[in-house]
Amino acid sequence: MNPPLLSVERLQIDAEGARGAAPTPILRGVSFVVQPGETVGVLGASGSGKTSLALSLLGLLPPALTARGRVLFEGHELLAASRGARRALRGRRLSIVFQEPLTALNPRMRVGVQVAEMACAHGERDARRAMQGAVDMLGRVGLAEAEVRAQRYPHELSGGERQRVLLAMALLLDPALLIADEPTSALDVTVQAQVLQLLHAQQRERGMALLLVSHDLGVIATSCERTIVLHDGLVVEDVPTHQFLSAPEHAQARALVDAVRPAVRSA
Amino acid sequence: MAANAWRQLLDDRGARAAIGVLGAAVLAAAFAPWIAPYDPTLQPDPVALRLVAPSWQHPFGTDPFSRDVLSRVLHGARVSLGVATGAMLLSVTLGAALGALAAVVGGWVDGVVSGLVDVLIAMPRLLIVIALVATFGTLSPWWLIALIGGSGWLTTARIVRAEFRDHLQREYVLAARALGASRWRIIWHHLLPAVAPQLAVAAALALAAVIPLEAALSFVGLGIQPPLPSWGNILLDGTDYLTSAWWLVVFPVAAVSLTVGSALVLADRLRVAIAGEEHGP
Repeated sequence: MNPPLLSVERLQIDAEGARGAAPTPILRGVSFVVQPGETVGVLGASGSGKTSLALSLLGLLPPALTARGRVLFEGHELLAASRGARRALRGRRLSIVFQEPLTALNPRMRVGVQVAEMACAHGERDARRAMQGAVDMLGRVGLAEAEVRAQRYPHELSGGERQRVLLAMALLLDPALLIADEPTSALDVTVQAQVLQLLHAQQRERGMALLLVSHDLGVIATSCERTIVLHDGLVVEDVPTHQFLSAPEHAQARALVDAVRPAVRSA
Repeated sequence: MAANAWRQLLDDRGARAAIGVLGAAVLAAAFAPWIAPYDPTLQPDPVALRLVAPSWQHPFGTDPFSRDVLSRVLHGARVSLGVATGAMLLSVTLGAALGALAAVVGGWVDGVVSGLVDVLIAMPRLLIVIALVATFGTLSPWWLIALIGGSGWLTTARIVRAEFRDHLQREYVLAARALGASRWRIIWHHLLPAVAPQLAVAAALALAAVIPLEAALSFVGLGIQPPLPSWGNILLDGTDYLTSAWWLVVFPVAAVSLTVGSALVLADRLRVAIAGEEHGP
């Protein structure tokens, strides 16, 4: 078997305790792998450490949180890598789409410029070529009239359009792994479906792996090959999604599935 | 977006007047050699033309050395506004740089910068500058810019630090970092443009603070040295004749008051225009 694209081994994340108190564990030794091109769902309730997991992979944990363990991505030990090395990987090989597209975009910058910034941050010198690439990318993620919309500010676009802009930024440099942290939670249901479809279309086209982090079993059930369930800082389930849905092993996973079973069945 | 703020600013009568006065002062300073009717240092007849009241020949009168006060006020604008602009630019740049450094680096750097601001802001600026000038002796205008500007960065640093810290916590900065933007890129492309409006206000306020500071230094004889005219030292020449030659006091004071007042009005209206913008989308 090929080496996995991402391999997380015994990842622990601790929140600094207040004034000498013992640190609070957020993740207590999480291990899993993601193969190239694979779609993996990370399911967990609010506060189960999903977002901290996503941020730790990027090396962007807030200062009060510390990560231990090993994260291997394309041969790089991410937790031990230098800041510069991690920065060079972020956005280029390893990208992320955040939950709330309005706050994740700079309100003062035209969206086309923000996408073009991505290329410039990774060494593109020619601003006009960067802008052209940005407009192309915005078209490819399905933003209608990309040329015109690129000149708009975030608040002038709809939620779905903003999420497409974020996706264009994340995909611009053709990453090997895209982390999507609740990419559809801020959107209404019809737009959710569109964005998920788009995500999968782009994934297939690029052969990119997708780590879809969500609390929404419906989203994960319909789109992921494999499901990882986080509970209480541990991985309690790591199985193919169909198996997870039909026969969840862990009590918590079972509770999750039972809670939405009619919805999933009918889906 | 910024265009909205500009439009709101230009729709405001007070702001237009302030921009007009400051623009006129800058033009007067720039073209002083061509506008001024006389050489500002020429003493044509210290006996016959001494302390002549305003007349058609000398609209602002003459000083105790028979020099034309209008010409001196116009040339004084060059020196006073030149020193003020230089000092304002220096203090705003220094404040922005130190405030940004404190916010971005954090830790002990933030502690040192913030502590320094807290200590220095408690000291009266004029006294600090007077003490420094007195230590170094009389200074060239360049040194004057350095001293006045170097002592004025505190409030700008505070504003920029606070704004930067606010923006650093916003998700778009995290998103930019998550997609590989470096610190410098985030500072230049995201944070500085975000604080630009506040910097404009700070610059207007800094200008309002440094014009009287230069005037005060020159007035007590520590600033611009005669025969080079500045608004402060024209006033100094008039102090002995306060009761007999009002024009030596009124015109330079009017020049200082008008420019400072305009800068204050501009700062105030800028703040309103920016606030109006922030309430928008």
